[in-house]
Amino acid sequence: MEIPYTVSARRDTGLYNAKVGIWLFLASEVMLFGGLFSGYVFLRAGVREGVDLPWPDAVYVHGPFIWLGFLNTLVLIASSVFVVLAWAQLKMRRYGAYQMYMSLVLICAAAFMAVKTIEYNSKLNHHFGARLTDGTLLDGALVTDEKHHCPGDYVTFEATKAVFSLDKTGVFRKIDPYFIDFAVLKDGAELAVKAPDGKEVKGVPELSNWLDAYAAANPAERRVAVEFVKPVTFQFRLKEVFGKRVFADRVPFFRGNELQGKLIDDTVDIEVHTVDLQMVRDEEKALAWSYLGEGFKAGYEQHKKEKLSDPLHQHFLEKGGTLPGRQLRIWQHPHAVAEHGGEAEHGKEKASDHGSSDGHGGHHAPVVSIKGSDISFMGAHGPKFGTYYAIYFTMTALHGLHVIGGALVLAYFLFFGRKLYRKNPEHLANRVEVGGLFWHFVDLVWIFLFPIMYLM
Amino acid sequence: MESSTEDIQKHVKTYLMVGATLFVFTIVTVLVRTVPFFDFGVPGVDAPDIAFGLVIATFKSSLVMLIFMHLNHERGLIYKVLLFTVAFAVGLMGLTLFAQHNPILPHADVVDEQRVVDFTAESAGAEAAPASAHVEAHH
Amino acid sequence: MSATEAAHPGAHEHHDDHDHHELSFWQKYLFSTDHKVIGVQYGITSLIFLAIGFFLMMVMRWSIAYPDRPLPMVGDWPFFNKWIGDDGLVTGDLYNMFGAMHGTIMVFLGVVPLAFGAFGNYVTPLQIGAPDMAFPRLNMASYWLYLVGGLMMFASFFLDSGAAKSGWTNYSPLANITDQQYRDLFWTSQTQWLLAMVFLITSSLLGAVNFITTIINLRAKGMTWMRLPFFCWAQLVTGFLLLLAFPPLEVAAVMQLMDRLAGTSFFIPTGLYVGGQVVEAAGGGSPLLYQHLFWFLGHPEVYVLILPGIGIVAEIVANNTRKPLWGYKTMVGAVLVLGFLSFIVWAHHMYLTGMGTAISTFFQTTTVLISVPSVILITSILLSMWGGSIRFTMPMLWATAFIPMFGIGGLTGLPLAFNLLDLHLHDTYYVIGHFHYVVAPGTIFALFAGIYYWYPKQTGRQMNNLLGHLHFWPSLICMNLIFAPMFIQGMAGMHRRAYDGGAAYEQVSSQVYLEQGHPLAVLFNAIFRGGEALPVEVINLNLLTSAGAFLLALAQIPFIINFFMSMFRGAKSDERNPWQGTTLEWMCPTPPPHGNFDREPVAYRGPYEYSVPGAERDFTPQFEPDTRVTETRPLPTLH
Ligand code: HEM
Ligand SMILES: [Cu+2]
Repeated sequence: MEIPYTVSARRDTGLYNAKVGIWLFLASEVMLFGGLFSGYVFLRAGVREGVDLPWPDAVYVHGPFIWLGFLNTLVLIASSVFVVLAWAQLKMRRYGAYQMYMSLVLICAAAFMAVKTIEYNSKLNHHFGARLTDGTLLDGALVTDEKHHCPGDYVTFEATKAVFSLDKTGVFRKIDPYFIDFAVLKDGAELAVKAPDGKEVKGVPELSNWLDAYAAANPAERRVAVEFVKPVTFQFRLKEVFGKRVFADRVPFFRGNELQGKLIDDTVDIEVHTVDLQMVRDEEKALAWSYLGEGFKAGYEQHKKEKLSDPLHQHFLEKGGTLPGRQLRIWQHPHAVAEHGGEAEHGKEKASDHGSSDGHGGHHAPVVSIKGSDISFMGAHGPKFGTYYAIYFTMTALHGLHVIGGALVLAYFLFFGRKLYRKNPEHLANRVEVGGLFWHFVDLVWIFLFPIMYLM
Repeated sequence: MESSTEDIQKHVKTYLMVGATLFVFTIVTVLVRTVPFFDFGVPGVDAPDIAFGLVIATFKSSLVMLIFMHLNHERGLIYKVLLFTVAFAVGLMGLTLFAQHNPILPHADVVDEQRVVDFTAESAGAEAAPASAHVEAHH
Repeated sequence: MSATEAAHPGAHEHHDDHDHHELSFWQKYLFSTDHKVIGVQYGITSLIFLAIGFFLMMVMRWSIAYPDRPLPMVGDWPFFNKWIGDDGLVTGDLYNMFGAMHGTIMVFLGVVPLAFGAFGNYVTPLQIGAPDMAFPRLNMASYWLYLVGGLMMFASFFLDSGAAKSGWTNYSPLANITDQQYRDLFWTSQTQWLLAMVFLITSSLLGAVNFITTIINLRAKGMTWMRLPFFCWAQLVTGFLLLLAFPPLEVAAVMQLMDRLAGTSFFIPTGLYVGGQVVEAAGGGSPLLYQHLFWFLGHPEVYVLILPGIGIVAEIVANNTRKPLWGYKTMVGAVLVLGFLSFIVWAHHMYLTGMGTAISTFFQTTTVLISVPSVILITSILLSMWGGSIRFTMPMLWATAFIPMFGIGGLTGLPLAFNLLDLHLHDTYYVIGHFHYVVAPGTIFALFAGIYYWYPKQTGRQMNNLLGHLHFWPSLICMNLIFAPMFIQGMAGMHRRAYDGGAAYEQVSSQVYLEQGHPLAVLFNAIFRGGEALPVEVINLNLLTSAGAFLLALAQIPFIINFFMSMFRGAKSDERNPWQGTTLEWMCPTPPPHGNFDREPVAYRGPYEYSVPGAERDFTPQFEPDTRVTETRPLPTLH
């Protein structure tokens, strides 16, 4: 049995099977990315001023890494040209030239993924932001220093008592008492508690079992409090914690569990690159100034005044635009800060121009130690950090998967194509055409991704 | 169509030209958003920037589709499939946005005070006051 | 990966080598690339899943009918003793789990694979005269992806967290925040549901690419578009629905996965409270985004459920009325229009999400419009029967019953289309009644019809008639017993997804508008009730429904016996064309060999040339060169 039209085109449709197939597949890909782009637009258009996190200016988000995105665009365009050239060479039956162009495509694909890795790494491990309880958004980089050990964002809490939830109803049917998952015991201290009945329980698994047994024996109780035999010091990463979670005498956890005792240290050191007050009601009294000092406040005010006096800007404001003047980019406006910003509490004197080593503002940006109780949430610029980052990571990662998939297919044609070429060169040309169509599509998606994720 | 070697050679030239055009337009988009001198409107993102970026992206992607993906001379069937696909994708984006911008009541937190007052005045008027008083309250 | 496969379909050229030596058992029945074997695989797998889904439903029906009585029989089976209350009652968790999985299994693992995967695979290439699907290995991949997805779904029952519990629609943010009490969110119900879904979606997408390509490019000589049997048209449109509607669901699934595993807030609005605490997320997302993406698939999906059914019924009705399908061209037009419109009606599932009047009006209009092609289809089929001398064979019985059942389902959809009425009816049992009338006595009946119709093609034997009747009549009665009361309950305001069947809202002495004992008392007193509670009469209808459901299970026993017994004992019908049909599948040997045809299939005429005036017999097959030649002139064989 032989399936017709695998190589030659059918007369009435003018197409061979794989060509119909790939275009249908691309149609479904259009809907896939169409859905993602719709999500992007929906989320961006749905940002409520003063309620949701503002949509960041992408140019700022990427800072100097914008050139990486730019580079990647060029790389993909070049690979698109190469793949179509490879196909043309096959059509002219020049196998050697085909191999050369196809190799170039694969090199481009590898380069693209390498650049992507650098970019992700910078976002996930260097860029850092915190939203304070009054809505101030401080953006910059996390500082690692001696005092806080690496990576510098641990909360230290000395606990004397713990309260465990025994809730068994609804969604919270089964308890997980084990906040210990993300709270580590300092210096390998041992966990030992005194149960209400006076029994001593030692070790984490034993505690779990005991809690299960206790919950089974006391179905009516919803919480149980136990005392630590001697105070235990816990450390946990504030990076993972959202909400106002740390109090002077207790740390509540999501499932109704709680540690009680004494807060030792919950400050976080941030190198500030941007102060964004779009969500703050009273800019005069913004928390930012209690950390950055009056100098920066004056700089900010002047910066805002300049913005407001700009007639063009005024025009857009009247049309209902937002006020970029409420974001002070220390790295973009060194002059505004230089005059006033000398006396930030912990800060160094001034910001350097952007483009220096680690992104925004090099080593001259002010470093502040923020109290944990002032932070409403914070984190690296990973997917958690607001809807822009969520959609950015989701879309670029899915696109990256497409690059990898496409490259694997093309690599197959490059390394295992010779046999088919000998047998039926037209067949190989068809395959490369079809694989190329997919590759162009991947390029096409990036042509849209680049401006919306990096430039606007 | 690409039967003879010369034909294909000619195509190869086109491909290179298109590649160069794509490069140039990429540089243009980036310049517009990063060098203040070229920026439209106020510094920072604004509607003209977005429009300009999207127009360029659309232009670039049509070049890719028409030339690299050979959509400048493809079979009718493929156009039909793509036409419907694009229509549905636009429908998905357009109608969800439409739904987002046409809520049954404005969001509580973005209701401006004037409208809140109007709303209560109206319902109070409907219940207690005669119609004329209700109209007065309105103006 | 799919690009890989799509990119080198030529690889199966090596198959002609295979043809010469015997295929091993594995190649022949398990890892086969033959569309008929894959079709049978799809069929058997999906029938098993249908049975599982049915079982889940019976547990739910017990809980609804007898919320205060322990679950009988299965209560102390290993899985159940973990989820059932100490008192033996079905818990809310168990009910939610079974509800969500019943919907999921029935829709994504039962009906679609049976209608599209099994019948589509088996029949479509035969009817268009193709030797196989365009991409046989892709076809095999589709089946295996489906099986893996299905097994993942099934395995999720046995996780610590059980299976998904947020309804088959899996609305966010409920589905986002569920399972927070488990340490490893990856191995929890909803996450596994989403991952399994990714497999199922991929399978459907590959299948859709394959089907459409096959129908476009592999039609036999002479098989022009207007000679294509209606079943193939239905499959073609179904293919496009799957192809273009599933990707946005995949987007929703990926986003929900990200929300669960990576902590994003796609669907979590700012300041969402759960269990008295603000959810730990940046916020800024929108639950409505999820609903839009889901229903963008959801509505086309319901047509995926019904179109193959209509296609099967059209084939059977034409064959058994011995008349051409009435208005074949109109039907083709209608099915195309229907496919198009089904992409722009989705928000009629979202009237209650706070959409404004303008957008609601738009979706209301398109929804009402879409009923026009639906009515055209069903009317054409009905009119095809007019004046025919109908043979009430087993398949025809099912097909005939399909028409009014689907009709009820469709007509009850119309009130839902209207915003104003839907505000009252949304999320009540009325909606449950509506769509089940379409899918259960509708599609499922059509699928049974198809099984009875094409069974002889694969096995060379007819299914037993007596057992068929024992299957059909009780099924018909029970289906109506189950779903008709739901309309009344829904109009009375009984909410869906209540595990006690509304008992918590029971009101013993409802305000009475009609004397008890009046034939319409239940209906009227229920609908025009005073107060907020549910009259006891309405709740008591649960008993009727549940009894119907259990009886329906019994009614399937004759089918199961019939299905297996007839393989060995059924009346032989060795000839190629036991039903005197006209389409190409009746031309190939029984059962069709790998490659299907023993001479080149050529379509000389339209698909439904029954009772052509002047012809010798009452059917003139598509593959017969000349109507006036009565004895079959052997065509030159190809091989
Ligand atoms: C004749 C045209 C039809 C119209 C006008 C129609 C209308 C509607 C509307 C407006 C709803 C939403 C009700 C609500 O949630 O408040 C609905 C629900 C539903 N319809 Fe239809 N429908 C039609 C045909 C069909 C068909 C052919 C199917 C195929 C199986 C179907 C399956 C469903 C399902 C599954 C739901 C419920 C989904 C859920 O909420 O879980 N409908 N229909
Ligand atoms: Cu619908």
